[in-house]
Amino acid sequence: MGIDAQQQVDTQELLKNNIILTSIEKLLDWGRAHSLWPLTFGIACCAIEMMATNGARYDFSRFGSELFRPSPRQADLMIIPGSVNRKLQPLVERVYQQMADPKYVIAMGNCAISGGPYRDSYAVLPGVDSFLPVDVYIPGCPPRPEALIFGLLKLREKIIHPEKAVRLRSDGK
Amino acid sequence: MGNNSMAPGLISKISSRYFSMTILNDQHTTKVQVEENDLIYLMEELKNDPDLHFDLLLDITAVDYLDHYIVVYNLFSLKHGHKIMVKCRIEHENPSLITVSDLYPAAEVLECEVYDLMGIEFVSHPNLHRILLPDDFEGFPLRKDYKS
Amino acid sequence: MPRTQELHLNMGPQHPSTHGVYRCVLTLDGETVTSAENHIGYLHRGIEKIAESKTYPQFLPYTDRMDYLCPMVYNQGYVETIEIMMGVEVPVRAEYIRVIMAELSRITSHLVMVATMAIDLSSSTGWMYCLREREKILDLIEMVCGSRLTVSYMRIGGVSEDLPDEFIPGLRKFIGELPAYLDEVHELLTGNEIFQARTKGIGILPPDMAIAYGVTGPNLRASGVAYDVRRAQPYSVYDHFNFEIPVRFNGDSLDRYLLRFDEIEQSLRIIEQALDGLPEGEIKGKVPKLIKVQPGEVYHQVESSKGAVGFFVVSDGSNKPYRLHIRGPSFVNIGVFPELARGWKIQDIISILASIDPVLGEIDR
Repeated sequence: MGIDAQQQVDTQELLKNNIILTSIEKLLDWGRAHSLWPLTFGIACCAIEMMATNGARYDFSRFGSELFRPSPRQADLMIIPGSVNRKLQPLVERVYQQMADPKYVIAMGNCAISGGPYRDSYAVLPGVDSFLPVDVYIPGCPPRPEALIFGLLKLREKIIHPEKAVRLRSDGK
Repeated sequence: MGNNSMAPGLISKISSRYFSMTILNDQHTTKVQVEENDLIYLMEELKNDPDLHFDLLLDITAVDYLDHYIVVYNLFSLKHGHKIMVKCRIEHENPSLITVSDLYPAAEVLECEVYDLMGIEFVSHPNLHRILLPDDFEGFPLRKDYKS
Repeated sequence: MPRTQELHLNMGPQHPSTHGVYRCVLTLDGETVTSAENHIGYLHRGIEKIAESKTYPQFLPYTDRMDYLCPMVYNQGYVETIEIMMGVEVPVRAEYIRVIMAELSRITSHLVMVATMAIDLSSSTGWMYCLREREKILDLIEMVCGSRLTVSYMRIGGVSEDLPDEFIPGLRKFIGELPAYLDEVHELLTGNEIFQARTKGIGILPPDMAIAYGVTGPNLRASGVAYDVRRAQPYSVYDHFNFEIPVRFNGDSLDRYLLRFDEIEQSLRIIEQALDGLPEGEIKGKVPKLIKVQPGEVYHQVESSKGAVGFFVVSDGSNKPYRLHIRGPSFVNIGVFPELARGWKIQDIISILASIDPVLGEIDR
């Protein structure tokens, strides 16, 4: 038993340090990070800044987000620009579930982070992270296009080095 | 700033015909108040009389005064350039009012909004439904006694 | 004769061409729309209820977030309503600055309308061109008030900051250059055969239907009715300026699109006259530190790029409004969309919706 067990342990060690698999994973992560395709989902005022980021001056495409895809099947990044209310929440969740893994969420603007100026309202949810796992929070009302680009670069860093930050929902899951 | 109020002769011409109508004192615009039973006749006259010709319904809204509601209609005449604010007082208990959407199709969405947020039922409205809030929302948020 | 089955298609809140979270449920017979049903409320934020718990100056930032494409006009409408109720006199320089900023906002809004209409009809170059021009205006606006989109620039009694020195030469340079850029857009889009085929004769709005449904703004003027609040119920200092109210008579999507260019031209005219006649003076009138409005109610209207915006404020004498209601022109304009959409093909209703130019922030508030 001793020698077989030892052999098994050795094989496991070899597999864990298998250089080829780790490299492919790193390559895939690099590829994902440099070609995030956002979903067109403009909700409120932040969406206009998102549109401006896509325009000629701030040019989102030079960071790999060449196109905004309208279909959730073809997108891997969901930027949530604006306040989500109770009527819209099930639809946002449904669209998120329709996206294929691996998928990422950026909460853009104060309304998506915590409800923003509408936190006391009867209609608005206090932040998108109450039902979606958010990767990057971009504060601002609305955040400038440069802030959105910075958020995207932070997300890229997070994808390539996943150990840097753990994605959490506000209920801790 | 221009005033766009109605000529005083015009307004007294109509007020004599409606028992419950009062002309409110206001320096900014012509304001009248009527009771429920006279409202639809007044609105018909405001729209159809050629001297009045209020063809554009700008807005319908409502205010909760704790023991009654006031429903406010703002009308404008493209032909004559005058405007009027018509206020109608209704009960606080089970508030309801006749719709004006037969006269002004613009009222269809405006009355739905007042129903949705204030809970005032508009009788004979073609499609009264919750327009801004989810269908399963409980309560009427713009009422003063609404607790979220 | 074989009958096709009717299909219910959901043009959901997540859609590239719905201008926001607007949902439309279409009933289709083949490709023809037999009926369209509006579903709104996905951006309802309860702003009217929030107003009852904020003081009058505290509510000002919410006015930019309703129509986020034309925020200066909403600021102006709100502060003017409070000024009327309080009897505050606004210095002439502040009024002129307000007019300049409102017209700049109007131009940016129309540029976004043209950009979104272009991209909805698959011309992403048109989108880029118009947004490029808009960035220049946003630079100018940012020079004055520090923010591109949610400006909160006006105050009860005037404006918050005076114009910096670089603003006026920058604005004059921009006004000189804009017509040439608009010609580029015309060359790209307006004369294009495909664009014309998709917008000419599509979605005709007859003037009596427009008036009956309460449509205001460029959508009404494209059907031949010359109603503009700046002329019919003049406010601020618009009666000092010489400008025309552009009107077109076909009422189709192409006319609604072309009318926006006519309006940009008139806005440039107003801005030039305002710059030439800009007086020296104070930028804030005499206003008490604690803003309390005496009891009463006022309904005041201004003209935004979408139509007539109404502010209805009821005051009970305290420093917070008892009731604040905003008439968003797009809320009423979108009510006519089911009538307009009936009978057209599904591709045509995209062009109709783009030419109506709804903004969900002011529909749902």
